Amino acid sequence: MESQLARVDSTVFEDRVLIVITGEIDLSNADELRAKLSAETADQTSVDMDLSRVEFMDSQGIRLLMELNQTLDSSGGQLRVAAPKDSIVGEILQLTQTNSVVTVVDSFD
Amino acid sequence: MVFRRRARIWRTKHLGDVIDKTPHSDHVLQVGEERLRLALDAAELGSFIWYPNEDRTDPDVRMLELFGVETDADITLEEALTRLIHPDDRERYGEAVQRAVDPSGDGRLREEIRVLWPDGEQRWLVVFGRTSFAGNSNEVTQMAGIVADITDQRAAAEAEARLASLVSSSQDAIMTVNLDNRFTTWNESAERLFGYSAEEAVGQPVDLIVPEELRDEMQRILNARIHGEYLRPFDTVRRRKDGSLVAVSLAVSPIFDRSGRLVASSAVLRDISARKKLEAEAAEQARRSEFLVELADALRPVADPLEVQVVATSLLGEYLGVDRVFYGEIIGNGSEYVVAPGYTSPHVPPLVGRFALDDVADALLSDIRRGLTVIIDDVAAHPSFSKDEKAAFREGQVASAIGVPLVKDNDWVALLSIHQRSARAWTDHERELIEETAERTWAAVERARAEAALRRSQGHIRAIYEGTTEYTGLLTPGGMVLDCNRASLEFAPDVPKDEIVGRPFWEGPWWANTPGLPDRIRSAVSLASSGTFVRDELRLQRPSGQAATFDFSLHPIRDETGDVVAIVPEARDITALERAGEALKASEERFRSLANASPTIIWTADEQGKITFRNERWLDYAGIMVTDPAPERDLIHPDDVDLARTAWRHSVETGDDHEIEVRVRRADGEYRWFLIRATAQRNSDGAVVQWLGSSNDIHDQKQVEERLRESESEQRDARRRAELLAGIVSGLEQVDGLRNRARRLLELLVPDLAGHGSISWMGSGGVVNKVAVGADPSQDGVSFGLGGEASATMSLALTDKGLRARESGFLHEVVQRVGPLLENARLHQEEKRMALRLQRALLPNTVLTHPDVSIAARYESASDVMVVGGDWYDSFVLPDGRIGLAVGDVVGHGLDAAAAMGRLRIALAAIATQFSRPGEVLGKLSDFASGPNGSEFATAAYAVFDPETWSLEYAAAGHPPMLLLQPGGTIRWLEEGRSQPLGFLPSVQRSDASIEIEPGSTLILYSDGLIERRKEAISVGMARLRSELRELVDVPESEVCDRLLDAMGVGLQREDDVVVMAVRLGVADNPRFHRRFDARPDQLAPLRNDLREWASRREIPTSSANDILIAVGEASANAIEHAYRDQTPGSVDVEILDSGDGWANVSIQDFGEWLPETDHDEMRGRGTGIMRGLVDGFDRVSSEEGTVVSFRVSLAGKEE
Repeated sequence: MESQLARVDSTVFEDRVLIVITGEIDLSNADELRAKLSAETADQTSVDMDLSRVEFMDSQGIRLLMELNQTLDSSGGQLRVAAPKDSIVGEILQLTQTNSVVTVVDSFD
Repeated sequence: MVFRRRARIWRTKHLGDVIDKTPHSDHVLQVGEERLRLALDAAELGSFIWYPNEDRTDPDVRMLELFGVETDADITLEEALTRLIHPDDRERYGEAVQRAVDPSGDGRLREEIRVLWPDGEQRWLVVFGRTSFAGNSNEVTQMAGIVADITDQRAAAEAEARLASLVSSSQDAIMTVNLDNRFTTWNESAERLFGYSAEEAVGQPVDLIVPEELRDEMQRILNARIHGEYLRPFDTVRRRKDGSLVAVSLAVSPIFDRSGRLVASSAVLRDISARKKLEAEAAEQARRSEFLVELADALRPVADPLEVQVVATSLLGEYLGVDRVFYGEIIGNGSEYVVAPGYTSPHVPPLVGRFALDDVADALLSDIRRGLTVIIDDVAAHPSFSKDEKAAFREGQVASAIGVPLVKDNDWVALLSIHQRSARAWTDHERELIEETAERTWAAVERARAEAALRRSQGHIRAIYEGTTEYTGLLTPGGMVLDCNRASLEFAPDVPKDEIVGRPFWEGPWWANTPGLPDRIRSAVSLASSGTFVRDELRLQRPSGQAATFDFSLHPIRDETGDVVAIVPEARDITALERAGEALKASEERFRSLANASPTIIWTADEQGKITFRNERWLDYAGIMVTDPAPERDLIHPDDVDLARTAWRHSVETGDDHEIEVRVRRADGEYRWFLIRATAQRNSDGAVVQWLGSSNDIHDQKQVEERLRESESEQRDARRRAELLAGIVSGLEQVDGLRNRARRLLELLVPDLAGHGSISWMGSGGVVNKVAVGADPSQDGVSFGLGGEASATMSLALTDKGLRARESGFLHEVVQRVGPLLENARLHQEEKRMALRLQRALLPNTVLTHPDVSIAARYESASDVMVVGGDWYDSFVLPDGRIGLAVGDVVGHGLDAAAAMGRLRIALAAIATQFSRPGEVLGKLSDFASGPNGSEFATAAYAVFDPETWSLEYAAAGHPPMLLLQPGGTIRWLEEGRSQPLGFLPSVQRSDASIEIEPGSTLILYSDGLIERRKEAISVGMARLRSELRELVDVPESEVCDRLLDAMGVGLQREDDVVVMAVRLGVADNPRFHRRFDARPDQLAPLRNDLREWASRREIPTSSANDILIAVGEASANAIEHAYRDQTPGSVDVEILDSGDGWANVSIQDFGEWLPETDHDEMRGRGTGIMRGLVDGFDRVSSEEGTVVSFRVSLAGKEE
């Protein structure tokens, strides 16, 4: 059964795709999200990932980001992530030093 | 499922908000509609109004949801309905609608249909409709209706039907018996086992199948039932319709009603005749083996052939309880037989003597001559006997007989006869035993005869040897004369024999006239008495004064221990011979002529062991006559040559005698066993002058012994096999479950018969299950099909012993026996699985999750797999935000009770949304229970907690009172608000009561299984519950449930099912957070929701709460991923205590086993890294019970 823990919306621009995730990311839906993300980002070089509406994310989410970053990196693309510093996502990005590998901004506005 | 329930709660709250915002000044109608709306929603019912004339339907949102239509979908409802109804149901549904709008009908629609949701899921719905007609006309104006989802009920009904078919198709005969001791149910297995159909058996008294002689046992069963005891399975016997008896294992369980009154009992009977037969066979086998061992022991020391027969026939006669047992030996070319002394009972005259075989009935004789055993159960009824023959038997008082012929070298040589003065039906076992005994005894007789012949031939040698001298006699080892022969007495005719016998040899008359000679004789005697053969030439004076020369010798005789027991003196006058050499030669020739008369092979050898002489018997045997030793050595079997050489070398070096058993080749080339003895002959100096030897053919005796040994070892093998097989069968019956039985079977075979073994079978859902035992799974195995529906296969890497067991057919026998045992275990397992699945289908999936209460509940089924109980519990949020809590118990067990339980639980949840007071709710539930969908007799307790006012309203219908544990440790029984049980005196006014709740109190709801004990007043159980609860202040509610079940002795053998539910009221203020959840990823989100609630209630700063969320999330995810890898997922415990000093102590515990870290476990490391970065005092401890992760989180928040 499809989990309703997180929703993925994407908008394709000329030079990049914007992906907005709403909800929570954990062990129960990481595999499903991975499949969705790889479908949405196929053939894309640059991805903007808006995580400001993610209420919870654990190490599974970090793993998703690292994998996506590696894929884009090898094809010369770029991953940017938006998450407020004082949110759970912001905190866990700093804690795992993901922000030193991936570009993290407060928001895409 | 979890999801649906949560969704309902949210929606309920949302609607509640809407209502609150509705101005109360609106008119009554609107309020009424809202109330209906609310009731429909709480009951999960969709509604619609259909206007046939406009072909338009006005559905509510819930109805769309039920049909799986998305509210913003771009299709009309009619299209959707047409498309979504299952193709198989469309036509039926259309016709039902047509009937409902037909003016001649009753205008009602009730139809169950399947719909297909867009995601492919199939749901069952029921549609109720009521058609309105305009005025009195036939014109339809509209149809109003309600739609409900009945998928779960359908599933439950299907599970129930499946279980019912399992009961009826159970391998065991299952029946129930009422208080009048008459059968009330009778399943298909019972029909098969007893031959009575259900129609024939139901209503009959139980005596129908109880044999007369077991009426005492029946009384015992009834007594046990009166005391309400469960009778564990025991072995007994029952009678079939055709009158035959069948061995069964019987278990009886009493069935009680709510007041503890016995109402019926159920009996489960299993056919164990196959097992009984096997046990009887093993016992018979053991008894037989014991007899044969006893027989062998008794015969071994017996030397006399006649005595062997007497001993053997007596043992057999007493063992069988017959009247005569005797051997007859065939003589005179088969024309006569001689009856040897045997066994005769006191009731018949003995039978001894010689009989002509013509007297034996021809019919018997032809079989006997062919070597066949003759069995006559009843002489009078035997068809082959003539009138005269029957008369002859009668005269001998023989009514029944067995004759076993004994055959040697294809010739019939003897007959073992057994007589009985009354008719007797001989069993196969008895026949086999008699044949076995006949063979063995005859072998013993032959052995005894061979030994006797040997003894006789030894006597011959001595006679010959003595015959070589003229004078002889017998001395004691000390030299006293015991006897002397006539020739020796003639030496001195004047001395009477009396004066010689009893006196020392050296004082005898022979040397009295020769000075110095007595001393020389005396020293010769002393040499002989030490075991040395002495030979000398003596010159002595005859009494006449004449000188004479004697060849004199002293021959020591030894017993079997080597001690000298006698001395044989010998002397021969050789005066007439001029030279000693000639004398010797003459002596030799005389010896030869005598030796050739001997029936035994005898020979001499020089002091070096070289053969100097053999008698003619050797020629007869070997076909060659040589004196050189080489050819004889060639004739010894190559395997025995070394033994012969060693014996000779030893004798030549030391002068010791020797005795060996070797095989020697006969003239026709056959090797036969010989006993060869060599004895040293010595002169008076003690030097060996030559060797005297004999060779005795002991081949027949040897073979007899060999046969005896073989048959004894075969017997032992057969007994061991029977015991092993019986051991395997009973070993398997001691354990339940296919997996356990398969493992036990392998443990019985490995490592003895196989180095490694495995059994695999098809499980449910096509999964292949496998159990393996043993060290080396890489070995190639031999496969055996075990049969059964699961196609079980056993694979064994056989050891040498296992290969032999396969050759002998033993493994095949094992496979045949265990196949049905494994299949039975599988069927029982399947039944148990189905019963539990039904139980789960009928109980709520989870307890309510709600910020104001924290609930834990436990259901324990009764121990007996076939007992499905009627206990239930439920928790839900009411439309007004209050919380409903219920427990109940349907009287009785079995499917009816379980199904009624399911109906009552769902009905209470629906009724609770409509009525406010618990007494009212129980009243309506009682009405429902007494209706067609209810149950005969049930109890329930229902409470409503209002978190706004901190009050609890409650009522109990025939149910034991709830308990309230207050924060200070005070315990109160909620004893008011009690009324009669449900479905009993309908429509009575039921009271209820109310109590104020202190935050942090715990409400205990339970079923009577918790407090009831056999032979104990209920008040005792209630008192114990109260005192146990006193220990459980401040204990998390799930632990309260577990510890109550433990402490109240809800042990392994439960006769009833049990429900206990602990509800902490006002958890918000609890400094302790505790959750136990199944180790599944989908449990993480609900856990986080509960954590957020708890943190916000305790006003924990957001950043600290986030730290807790992340750290607890990582630790829980780790436990879910790693603790139960390759195992059935267990549970995870999360406990947090706000210690009040600005820190929260957190622990996450699992009860599984973490496998060693692998390269793929990068995630585990990342999660742990995150935790360490967030928390203080991180620690992880693993033990056999599981893993505990603990840490502290600061509650101070971050300085902004």
